[in-house]
Amino acid sequence: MSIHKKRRDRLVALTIFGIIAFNYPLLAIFDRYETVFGVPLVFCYLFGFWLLFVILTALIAKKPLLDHS
Amino acid sequence: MPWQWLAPIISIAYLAVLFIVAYYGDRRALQGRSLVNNPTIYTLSIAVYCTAWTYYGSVGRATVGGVGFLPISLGPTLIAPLWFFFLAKIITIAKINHTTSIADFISARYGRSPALGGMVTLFVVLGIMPYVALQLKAVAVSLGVLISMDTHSATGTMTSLWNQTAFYVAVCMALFAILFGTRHLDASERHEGIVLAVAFESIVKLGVFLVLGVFVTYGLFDGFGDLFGKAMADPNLRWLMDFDAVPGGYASWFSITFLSMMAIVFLPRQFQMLVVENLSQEHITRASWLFPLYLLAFNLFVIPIAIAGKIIFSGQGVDPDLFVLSLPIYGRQEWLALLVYIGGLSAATSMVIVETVALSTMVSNDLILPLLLRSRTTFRDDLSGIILGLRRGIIVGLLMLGYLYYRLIAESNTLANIGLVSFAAVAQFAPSIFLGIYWTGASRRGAIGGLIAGFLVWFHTLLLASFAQSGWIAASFLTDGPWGLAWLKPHALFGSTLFDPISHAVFWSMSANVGVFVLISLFDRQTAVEQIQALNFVNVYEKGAEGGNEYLWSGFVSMGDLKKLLARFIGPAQADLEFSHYAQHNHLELGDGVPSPAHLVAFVEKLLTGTIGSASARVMISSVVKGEELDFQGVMRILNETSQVIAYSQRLESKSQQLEAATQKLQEANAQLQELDRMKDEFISTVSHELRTPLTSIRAFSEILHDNENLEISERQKFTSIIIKETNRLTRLVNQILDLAKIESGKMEWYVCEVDLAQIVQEAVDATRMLFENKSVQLINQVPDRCIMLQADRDKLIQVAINLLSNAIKFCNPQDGVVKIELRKSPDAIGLAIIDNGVGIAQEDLERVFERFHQVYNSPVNLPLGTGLGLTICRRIIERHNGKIWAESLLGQGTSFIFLLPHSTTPNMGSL
Repeated sequence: MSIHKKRRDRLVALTIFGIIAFNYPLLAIFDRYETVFGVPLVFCYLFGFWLLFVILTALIAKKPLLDHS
Repeated sequence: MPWQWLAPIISIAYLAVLFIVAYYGDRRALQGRSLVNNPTIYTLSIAVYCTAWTYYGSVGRATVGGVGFLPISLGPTLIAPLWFFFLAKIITIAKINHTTSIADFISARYGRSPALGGMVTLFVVLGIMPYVALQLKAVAVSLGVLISMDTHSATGTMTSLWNQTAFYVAVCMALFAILFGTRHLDASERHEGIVLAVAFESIVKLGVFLVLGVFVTYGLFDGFGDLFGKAMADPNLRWLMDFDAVPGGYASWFSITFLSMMAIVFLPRQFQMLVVENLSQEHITRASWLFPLYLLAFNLFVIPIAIAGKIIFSGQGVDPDLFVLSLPIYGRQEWLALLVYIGGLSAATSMVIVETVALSTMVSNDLILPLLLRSRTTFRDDLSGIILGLRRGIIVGLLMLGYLYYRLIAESNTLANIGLVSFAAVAQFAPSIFLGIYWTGASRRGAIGGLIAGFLVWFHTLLLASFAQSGWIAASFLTDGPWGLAWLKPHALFGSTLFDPISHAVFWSMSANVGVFVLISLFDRQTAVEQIQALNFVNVYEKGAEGGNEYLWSGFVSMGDLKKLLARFIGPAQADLEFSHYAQHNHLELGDGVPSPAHLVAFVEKLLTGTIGSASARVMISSVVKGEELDFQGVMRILNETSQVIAYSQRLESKSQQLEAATQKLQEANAQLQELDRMKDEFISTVSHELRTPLTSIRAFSEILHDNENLEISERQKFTSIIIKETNRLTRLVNQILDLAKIESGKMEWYVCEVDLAQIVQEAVDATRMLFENKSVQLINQVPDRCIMLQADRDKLIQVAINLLSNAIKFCNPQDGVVKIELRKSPDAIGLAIIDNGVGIAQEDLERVFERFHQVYNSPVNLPLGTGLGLTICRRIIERHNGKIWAESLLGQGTSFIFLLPHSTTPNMGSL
């Protein structure tokens, strides 16, 4: 295989986690007329989690793709 | 400012900059100093995903659907981590097979089927053309607004000027695509110039959008707080902050996320950038997080801009799709408006150029060429010119088609959702590709069936429905269903009214697609070529680069004919070069009349695949190969045999490793046996010698006594004492042989009890006292005279001590012999050391003295000094007591024999 198994499992888990977090019913929890620093809660959640997701992807993916060993 | 002439000039100037960037990229590639071989450029080139639809349309969608525009960007974000698996695999397969488009990929997977390739191409053209038209419209409309510099013109009403503009825009883009997309025919079909230009445009569009976002948020308003505060206070805007604003709710949110997950890879322009233009799989690593970050940045200001536009242009009829351009005009920032227009132009041009280049390759390789090559039997010598001309014609044709489509539906509202319709179209390729690269059972007929089913549903539920919405066909089509058949209503198939139109279409088209595909595949029988390609795709990592390709051709073709064929498509010089490279690499003798080996045919087919697509390449090769393709049975037999041979050889390999190990052990055992055999021989001769010597003297003296009756008494006694002595020696020897045989056969009886080591030493010393005196050897007994108790067989231990002592006497210094006995201790054992001061034993002989029948010869007389069994017996006895015995020696200074017995464990008296 071209990819380390552990990293593969982490990436799959991350995607599943992301799909759950970005869909019903989790989204509905944040769908309230509340604001955080003047910004509606649902925007904060969507963009905040988006950024977190990108950071996690980067952290897991940062090793080179191909295992040349 | 006279924008009516300045804006077009600036547009053309911007395109000129793009030309320069693309030209520079191509030149660097030619020099071998690629700028594109860089993960960041790769990421930016993927951002061709963000079209004018994203640029202008997101804000428009946000004004009616709140956060409903986000799934378009969330889908790619969520699937990016999985690029490491399926995208990496697709890229590997595409590189090996010289795949240059998504149609080619699917066609190649399913037995290089021309029908499948053509079908995919047709579907793509049908699904993507509206999307291209949308880009032309965006550029034309935005240019119109810019020229008037008046927000009142931004109402979305068509003017003839726009139509002209759209036409010129289409011409400019066609020119660009032709110049950089069809410069030459190349097996890899890479266009570094275009990639660089697209990356450049991705920076421009994002940069401008961010600048605009900051201007709107902080220039026109007082930051996010102010903007959102006003929105929350306004009942007309407040509802946008809620998820209820999203059209179709959570179901549509999920469906669009899914569609964009597929679209990010399977849109022709995305496949072109992600797969065909990819230079290194390592680039995926950065793209997997940097591209989602790019999308995040692109979406950050969409909502603020939408709210700002709603607040500022409330009730003025300004088209929300043009808020992006109208806001800087309202803020009297004409240059910012110009920048925004350039950003939109970037988004549109990059999409249109990449899409048309990708489509032109598909249309020429998978639609027109297979038909052309099939229908004509004779060709001019060089076809590469024709193919290039064909591709250029196709680009022009595609853009004109896009323009026509734009003219046809430009005023219709359906444009807003046309992007999603395209997404749903390309999502139909997902089953063929995913199942194709992970399931060998996916068959050609299954893929064709699935695609047709999926596309029919798509056509009915999305395309026709959108036509009905725009009034081209009767509205009753939507409300009552076609021909009044209610169960065929495009938004409620079989009466399913649960979903919004998009989710409805996704659900039914994907179900039909996957269902038909899997069902047919399960009951289908694949052809030989299909099976080979299925294995090549699914097992791409395991099989390595070449797979079973060499089995694809079995007929005869001369090298000359093959080279001529190649030369027609890539030119004679290039063909010569490829042939000589290949011959050198594979140690082939080239000659025009020489029959080509199968792997050379496969190699040429791959080269042709890069140029004219896999289906056409197959047609061309079969036109020159005489004889049949392998029949199904033949190929399967070869494949089965090959896989069996591989399995056998793997098993053989492990077997032979085991055998090797076993052989080595056997060899060692054999050497040991030989050594034992040799020692046995020696022993027999020693024993015979030993036995004969006393026997001879006994016989000699007995004869003397017998023959001479009148011998003197003293003589008689002397002779009889010799006879007794020799008889004793014989007895001893025979006893020792018997002892050893008993020990080794396990028949020796052992009597283990508490014994006192000091007492044993004393008894052994008493027994050997005479020997010491006879040889006048001095004995130094240093064993303390107290009880040293241990578990052992008393007699056997005494035997050991006597043996060692008599050995020491034999081998100690003949003139000044000294033998010492010492007590030895280790943490868990106790024993004795018997030390002589003789010549010593060589280092390599220290172990061998314990072997049976090993004799140390007294060099001058070369007579054995012992039986060769004493030490062996000692070792056996000590080992039975779980102890150990060994010798230490310094040559010339004497030898120590040491044994240690454990005082804790019970001696092992069982069989050895």
